[in-house]
Amino acid sequence: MIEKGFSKPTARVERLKKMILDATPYVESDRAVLVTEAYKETEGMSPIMRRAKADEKIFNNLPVTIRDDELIVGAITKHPRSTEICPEFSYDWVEKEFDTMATRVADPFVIPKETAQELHEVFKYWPGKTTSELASSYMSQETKDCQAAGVFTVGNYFYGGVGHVCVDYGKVLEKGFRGIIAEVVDAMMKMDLSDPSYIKKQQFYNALIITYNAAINFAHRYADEARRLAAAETNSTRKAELLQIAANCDRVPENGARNFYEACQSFWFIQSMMQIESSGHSISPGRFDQYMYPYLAADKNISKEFAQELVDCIWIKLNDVNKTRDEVSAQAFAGYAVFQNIGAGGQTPDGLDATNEVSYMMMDACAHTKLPAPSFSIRVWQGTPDEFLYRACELARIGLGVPAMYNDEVIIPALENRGVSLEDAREYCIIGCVEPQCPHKTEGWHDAAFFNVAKVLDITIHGGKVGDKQLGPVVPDMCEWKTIDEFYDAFQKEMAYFVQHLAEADNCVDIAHAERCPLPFQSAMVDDCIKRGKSVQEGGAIYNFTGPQAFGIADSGDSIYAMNKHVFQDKDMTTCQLKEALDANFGRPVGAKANETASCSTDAITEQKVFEAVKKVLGNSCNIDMSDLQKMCGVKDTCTGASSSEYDNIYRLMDNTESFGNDIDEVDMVSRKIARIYCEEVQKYTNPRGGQFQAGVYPVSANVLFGKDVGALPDGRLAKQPLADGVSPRQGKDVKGPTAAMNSVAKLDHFLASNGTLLNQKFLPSALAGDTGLQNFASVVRSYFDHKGMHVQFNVVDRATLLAAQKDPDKYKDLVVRVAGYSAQFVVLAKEVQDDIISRTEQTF
Amino acid sequence: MKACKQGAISPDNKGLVNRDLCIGCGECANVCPTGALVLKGTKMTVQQVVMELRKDATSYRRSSGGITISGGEPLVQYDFTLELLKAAKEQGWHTAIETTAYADGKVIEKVLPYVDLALMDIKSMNPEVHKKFTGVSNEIILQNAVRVSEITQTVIRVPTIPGVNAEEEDILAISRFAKTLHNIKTIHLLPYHTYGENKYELLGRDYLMKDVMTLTPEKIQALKTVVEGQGFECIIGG
Repeated sequence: MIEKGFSKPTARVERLKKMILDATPYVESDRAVLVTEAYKETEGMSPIMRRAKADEKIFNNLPVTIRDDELIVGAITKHPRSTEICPEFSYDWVEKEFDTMATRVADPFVIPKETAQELHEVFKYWPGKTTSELASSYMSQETKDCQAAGVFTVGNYFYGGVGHVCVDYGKVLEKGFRGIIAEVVDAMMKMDLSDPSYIKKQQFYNALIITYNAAINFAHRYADEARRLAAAETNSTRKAELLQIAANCDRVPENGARNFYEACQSFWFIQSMMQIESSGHSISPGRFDQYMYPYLAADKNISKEFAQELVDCIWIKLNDVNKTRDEVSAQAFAGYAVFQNIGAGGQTPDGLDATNEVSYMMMDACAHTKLPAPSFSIRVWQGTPDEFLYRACELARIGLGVPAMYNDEVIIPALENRGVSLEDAREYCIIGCVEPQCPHKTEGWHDAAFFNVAKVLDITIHGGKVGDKQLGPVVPDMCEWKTIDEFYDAFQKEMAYFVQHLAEADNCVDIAHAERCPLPFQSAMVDDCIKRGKSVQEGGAIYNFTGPQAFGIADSGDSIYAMNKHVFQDKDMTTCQLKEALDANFGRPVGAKANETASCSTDAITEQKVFEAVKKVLGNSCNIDMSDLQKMCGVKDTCTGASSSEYDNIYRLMDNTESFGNDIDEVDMVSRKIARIYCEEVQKYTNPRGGQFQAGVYPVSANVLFGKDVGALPDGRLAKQPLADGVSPRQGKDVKGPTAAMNSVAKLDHFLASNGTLLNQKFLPSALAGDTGLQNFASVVRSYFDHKGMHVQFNVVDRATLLAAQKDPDKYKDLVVRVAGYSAQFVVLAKEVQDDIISRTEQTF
Repeated sequence: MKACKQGAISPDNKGLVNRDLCIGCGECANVCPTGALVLKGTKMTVQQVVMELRKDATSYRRSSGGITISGGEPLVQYDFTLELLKAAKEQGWHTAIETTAYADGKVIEKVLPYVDLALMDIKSMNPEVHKKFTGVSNEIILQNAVRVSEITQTVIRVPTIPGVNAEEEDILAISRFAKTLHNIKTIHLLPYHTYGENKYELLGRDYLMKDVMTLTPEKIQALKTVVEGQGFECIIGG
């Protein structure tokens, strides 16, 4: 028997889980008030020192909250699953949404009147002082125009902190914050005072000392609070728990951990304090099983059950973290997501298998809590034990969308190709959605931008124009193309132009963060900041990258293939006829979905026409000629006039063309070429931290949102409809089964997309049932990885359940699905994102 | 309707295709505005089929699986089936076939050596019942069953249909027969379902089994017990 089933969580864990699911997300103002106070007190100081003083004020004064039943403590907000505001990055969108954020479609948050009032007061300080304003001031008008047109957006790091980092949890577990302070003091002693660079280094070191002293105090405040609660606690069990919590918080993270419970508590303080310092998301714990296991192995007193309960509690805490974004970004990152990626398995730096007991405990924690966070992932290599992969498939079968699976055999060489050493590459962890990096040595800037390749195709079709505006370089209009090569020439020119502006936008934001928001708490835990004496933001990390990700690849590839076939090869239509059809949205109303047929005349009767008809009737003393009436309303005798049936033919031809995802080389290679064009353009650029740009291909959930900026495409996709997600085939177009879909995706050369690729596959639960289902599932993963795919994740839930959840969300609060590189509660997603997930093809063996 | 040069589509027939006139050119499917008319099937050579099958070769290896030839009845076009099996063996793939074994003994001898796993139907031990419901006697099938099981690993399959062979004595008879064959370990019972009804309508044919009910779970369990009682593993649905 391969399948083993999962045990049940403890009653405590069930209660903690309920608290999360029932929570109403709030916006709280404590942090914003404190940071503003700190900034007002530090006007004359250097940016790093101001940040340290801000951290100090926040760690010393942020309200301490211990929730009922908790075994692991440390809360960012008073209300569960709520968020703080970081005005130092941007704030105006919060102000705009004071009255609307509670009721908006995507990711609503409640902002009570007092909170809004406090924030309003606080925001008065910040005009002209934020990273977003500085970044904007560095950008050229052309770059801003590109963003406004929807070619790309750097919104993520523009509006908030950068995040996207995995810090050195292991170092803190071992040496504590005291150990870090000692390291800093040691570095200070070694400074060469004859080299003036020591001046800024000294600032940096002082900043770290101030920050870490306050960080130690933060934990002690929790110890004090736990003691206070214990004194008032009548339940003797809970009283004892609180006293143990106090003892833990006295000890860690100030010092190294002595047992597994202390290690768990220390871990959680790091994780939460990182997300207090900055709103940057994707703070990823990385290889939890590697740094936590030694503490479990050495702990002779702890029971298996209690150790599991502690890990479950950490999983619960990970869901307590929340982030609010502007309304538009909330659609792109739908589902209250903060993308904390935590992983198991893979290789040691020596190339041996790294799976251990904690690797399996992590899977049990997912099965016990069944919540959207964390983004749990596994690493797979040739030497991965079958048992581990089967267990992971058994977990995937539950339908939470975890684990995502990553292929060592592609990622390690891809990282080495970017200059990472072999040992460092073997240690890779995943950040956020799907981005690989070497942990605690990298500032990867992984979520640098969304780049809409389909939009560039749209622009190329229109000779570089968007509407009447010449946005990109002038290129021959589609009507003038005689061969497909002329298209590629034009496309290449447009891509080069837009990628250059993308790089500019990213680098402007990069500079702004370095100049205004260097982060001391984070930097001490990333190598080699202490050695180099500068923050992560200023280039202190060993490895530096910028990773903008593309989407719309399959749409572009399929469009170009279809265009080449029907226009240039089969000569079914001219380029001009195709362009006309595109501009007319194939004769359908804009916003119509694919399965709606061309509208007949009844919809065309407008209010105005009815009004005029009635007027005429009344004017003609109650007589009206029926044919007059028909003419006035534009009603035709038959449903299809001559021109719309011409578009129908074109639409049908283009829509029925073979698509990416069906393992047809001729078709797939076009998408491969498009992806390569993007990757090769991007890697021409470098960033201010001394690192290289590297492409990724994944959308988070932006494919739905940014589809709205793109008109009808030659592959038959109608205007404004969602684009394909990640490297996946277009929704519903992979009809030859899961192995064909995966074969197609594997052809895209993921090796070059070293910032990560994302493939979603949806399976029906019945396809994976029993031992046979598990074996088939595991072999599908291994085959895909044999074909050099980089990542795959699974939604295992049937269509009927998703539709039912749409109709009756209250009954399905606990339904968690895979969105992009993360899972979310299905019922909190905007309907369009829900529809997109439903439309993804269901596979069966 | 304009697209069809054979006049096979007319409003008199609700727009359905007159199968006697249709030549399968597919022109109507090309112009159908709603995509309701679809041309199914492509002519391919053995080599073309192998090229297509190769796309999943990694999966065969990883899952210890292979290819299965099914139908219709693959032994009717036995020369194509034989060539395809030979080509699959050259690739080192595991091969399986779903068959009634209603074929000349010489065909069995030629084709089965290239088959690693035979999934063979036995519908009834009773010659009259067999003739009534399939149109042919079961004599050849039962004879061939012996040879099939001797040449290759065989699983017996029984489409279990109420009114035909779904009583316990029918299943018992088949199970007893299976015991006389060479090294049978498993019998699949495939309970009758109505998923095929729609296909008849699309092909413009009458569905003669409209009144036949599907088997209850209790009935299926009882039949399973009979099979297991004869010492076989019994899988429902195969």
